[in-house]
Amino acid sequence: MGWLADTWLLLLMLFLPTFLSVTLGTYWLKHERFPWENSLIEEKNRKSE
Amino acid sequence: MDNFLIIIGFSLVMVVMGFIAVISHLKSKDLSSFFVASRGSKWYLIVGSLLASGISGSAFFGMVAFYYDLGMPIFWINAGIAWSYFILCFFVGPRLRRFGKITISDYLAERFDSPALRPTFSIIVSLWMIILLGTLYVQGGLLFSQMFGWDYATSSIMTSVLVIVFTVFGGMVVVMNSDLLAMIVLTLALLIALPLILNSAGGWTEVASTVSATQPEYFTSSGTTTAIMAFSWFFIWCFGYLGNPGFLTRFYAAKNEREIIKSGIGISLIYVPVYSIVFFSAASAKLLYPSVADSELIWITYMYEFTPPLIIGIAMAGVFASILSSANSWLLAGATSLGRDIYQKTFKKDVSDNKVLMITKLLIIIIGALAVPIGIWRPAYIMEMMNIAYFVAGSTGGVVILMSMYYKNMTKEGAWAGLITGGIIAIGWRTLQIVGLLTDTIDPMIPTLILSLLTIVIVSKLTKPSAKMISFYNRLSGSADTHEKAS
Repeated sequence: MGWLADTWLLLLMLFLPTFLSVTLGTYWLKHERFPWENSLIEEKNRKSE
Repeated sequence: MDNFLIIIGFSLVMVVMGFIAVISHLKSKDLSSFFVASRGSKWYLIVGSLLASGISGSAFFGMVAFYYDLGMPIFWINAGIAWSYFILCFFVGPRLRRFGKITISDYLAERFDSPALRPTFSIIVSLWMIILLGTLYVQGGLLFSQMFGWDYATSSIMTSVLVIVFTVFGGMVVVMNSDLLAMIVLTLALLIALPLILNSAGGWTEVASTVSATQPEYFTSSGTTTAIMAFSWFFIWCFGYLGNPGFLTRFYAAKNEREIIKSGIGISLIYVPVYSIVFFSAASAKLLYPSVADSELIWITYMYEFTPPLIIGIAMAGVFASILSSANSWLLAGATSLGRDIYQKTFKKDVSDNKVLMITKLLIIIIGALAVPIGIWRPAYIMEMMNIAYFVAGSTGGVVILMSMYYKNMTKEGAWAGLITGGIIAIGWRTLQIVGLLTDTIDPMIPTLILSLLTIVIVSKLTKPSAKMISFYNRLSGSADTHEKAS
């Protein structure tokens, strides 16, 4: 299975979207926003106060 | 007897598909059903639709041939598509759904307050949709000629007739429903066929060692191609899908943003495994058939040799269903764009909905017919033709659409400059390569992408976005406001 080592970058690029989709998607379904949107909302709330 | 069982299997799927199409058609009430499936599609319909349109017959003819000939480096195409699905479902789809219109030209024209973008983008879309459709007619031609023994041209024309009829009577609501069936049938066919072919080849270890010995670069990252070429494939397909209205308009049909996010998770879990099965089958075929005259027929060849007749029929129907579903999408996207964006929005603003529908259906017939010569001619490998279509799509639409959603200060001038630069370089460079004035060793995708991005940024910096554009952008990215209210 030496070929697996030759193709690590390819395999990473192939499976990273799956990992990101599952983690970010689960987060979104729970909080109805992405993690980086939290700071934006806090900033907006602060401004409106 | 075998042929009889194949026909039974094929007819079985076709009857179910026809039944779904008729039911969906009867449920279609208005223009919104035809164009965006009444904006009620749940996540599994979106997954089915994105996957079936993305797979189409190209997986079983084009991709199998590419895997068979070149091996693992072809996964760079799949990696590009996997990233594209991720970006589409998480970063583009929800914003498009929030916008909630019908075509992508609608979006671009409003985002940049530039009505002229509407017809321009529509014409570009229709042109490369014709190339994509041509590749699908090739697939149908190969399928029917192998299955029924008809000559290739007749098979290709037959495919085009069925595609046009199905699209004229169906519209988006039928597309979404029949795509799900196509996806299920295709996945089952792949799952059933894989162990049979692997077993015939003596198991995966035998396949891996024999193929590695005969073609040492088969299981490497870039194989016989250069690393630049491999990366080019990645970007062509990633940005090509992002710029393809056939995929983008799916999100207008979603019930809400939540369904789009769920579909993003769903498709990410299915897409790579499905193509891995296609790859394992192609590698096994490499051992079983070390040299073939036409590698685009390798899937049909091993299916006929190693699977039971009923399964062959069902699998062939699945392939045809996926060809039909992709063709529906491309045809619908092209015709809708021309019918609504050029006829209704540019020339006849007070036209009735029914007239627009009639014109769109007429355009479906015209665009469908225009692609027939490409199907019969079969000028290149399916994947080569698709590479060109997605290259143009990515260089023009893909870059502009993605930038427009996340670059607040992007201006109308920036969008036009990006579209023109991408289009000219993509078409010009490729044409010079085809006539032999430029070397084939450098693929134009990466330079085109960089130049297009730079042009958009520089021109946008030199000009100012109007208040209307900024307000539209804020509305589109207004999730913060929504969440504030919700919390």
